[in-house]
Amino acid sequence: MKDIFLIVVSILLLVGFRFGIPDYFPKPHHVIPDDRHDSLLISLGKRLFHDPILSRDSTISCASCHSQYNAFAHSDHPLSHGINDRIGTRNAPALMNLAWLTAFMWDGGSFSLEAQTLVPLTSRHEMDNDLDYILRSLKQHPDYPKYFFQAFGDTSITIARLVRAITAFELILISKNAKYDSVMKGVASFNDQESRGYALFKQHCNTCHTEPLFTNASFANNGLPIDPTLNDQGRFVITLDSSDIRHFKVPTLRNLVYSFPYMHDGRFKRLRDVLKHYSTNIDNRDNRSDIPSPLHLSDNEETDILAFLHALTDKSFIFNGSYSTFQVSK
Amino acid sequence: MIILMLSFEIATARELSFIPYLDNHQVEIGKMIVIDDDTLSITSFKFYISSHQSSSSNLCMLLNMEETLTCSIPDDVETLSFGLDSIDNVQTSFEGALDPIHGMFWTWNAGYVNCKIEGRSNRSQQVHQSFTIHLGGYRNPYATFFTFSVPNNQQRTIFAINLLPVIKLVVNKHEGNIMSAGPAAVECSRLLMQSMSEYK
Repeated sequence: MKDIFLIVVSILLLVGFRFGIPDYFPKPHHVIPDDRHDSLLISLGKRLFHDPILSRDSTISCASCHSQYNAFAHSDHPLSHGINDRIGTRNAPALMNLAWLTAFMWDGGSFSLEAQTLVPLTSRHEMDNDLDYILRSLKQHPDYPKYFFQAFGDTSITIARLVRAITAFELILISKNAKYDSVMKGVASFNDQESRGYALFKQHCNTCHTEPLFTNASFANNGLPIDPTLNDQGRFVITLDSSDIRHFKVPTLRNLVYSFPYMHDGRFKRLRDVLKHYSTNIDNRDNRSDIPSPLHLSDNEETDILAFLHALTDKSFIFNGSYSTFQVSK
Repeated sequence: MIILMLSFEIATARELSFIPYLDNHQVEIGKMIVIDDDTLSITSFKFYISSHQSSSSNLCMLLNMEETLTCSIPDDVETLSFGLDSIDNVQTSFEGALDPIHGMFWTWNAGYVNCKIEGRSNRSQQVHQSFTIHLGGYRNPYATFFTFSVPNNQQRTIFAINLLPVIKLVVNKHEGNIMSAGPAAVECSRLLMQSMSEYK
């Protein structure tokens, strides 16, 4: 019996618990790298994530649009900003708790985090690079062959290894220390306003932005009027299923104080504008059943919800030094 | 000769070849072929062949006309897929034949292109009178891989593929380009399947 207990404890320590994953989190879909045994792989991934060498003209990195101080989103532009000042068609989403997701990008066009990694590398509006050139650049770099050797045991640099390293780093971006989490662990409590906001949240928002990850990882049409310039049909472009028209991934609400602007096209800069949308501005002129009804929140109710949403801020994630950049050699 | 294989052990094997045609004209890369009032050429033809049937291991090969359209298959394989199924797509290792470096992986709508046919036709309205046929998609109802049987009683099997019907369809009906999954790609894939037959 004692042996079984020790084995179970050891397994828990090796998986997840190494990162102190709370017991109220669901089981992740991806194996989270172990920062003791996979530290060199994670380190390589972090280096690649922050290195503009991956873009065609070596001007932007993954971190350019996924800055840690924005919860790995981007606040300068509503839409992603690529090389040569090109502007994309979607808002760079915040990156966290990715191990719990099964589809990536606003339209779910990527079936895995590894596959998603290839999108910004090759997208004309983002890094506009080609995979051959990336591999050549890394192979000719004075240090990367050494880093790949450290991570994989030999100096071979391949696309499979590149995406595996970046993915390893992205998977350890875990946010789990907001005030909400302290309350869930029983070591803190919401104030009155947060409590009222939490009750309203559970009543109106939790179906899609489901606790504790604050997303149900699905796709939804939230009644945003379509931008006539972008004419973005969302997941429909991927599935060609008319029930997916203007459906976009439900984003996590964790750290959203830092991850502005909001929505798939970054149209709202302020959380108050987001709440106004759900309260009164939902566009359902086509009378679609998949669009939510307006919530008709009072100003006080909006303020209460905002107070609760602030309790999803995890400063230990935003300011986690182990995620941050370091000097990248050219 | 480069045939890219993934986890494929050749115990006893037999040979499989594909010969592309434009009606009665055997295709060579870059060779101009006149058919009726059109002049066509093929600049690229490559496709995946796969199988989960072999007792030894999964089979996944990328055949490229610029290299060779001949490969070896295990003796116990009787059915092959022209293209990759959903398992091959979503469980990709990105290694070997599945390495995106081969230019057969779509990123924005992730998944592999099962078959690429590129070339020129006087009837194409595209720049340089080119046509681009990239047939991919693994999700139903727009999956574009198809299966075909391989006789198991002969050491060498040759399949002839007439590319002209699918090229005509794309040039005449789709302005010379198909580069995403959907009903048009499915239609082309079915036409390609119907245009493939054992060469005897």
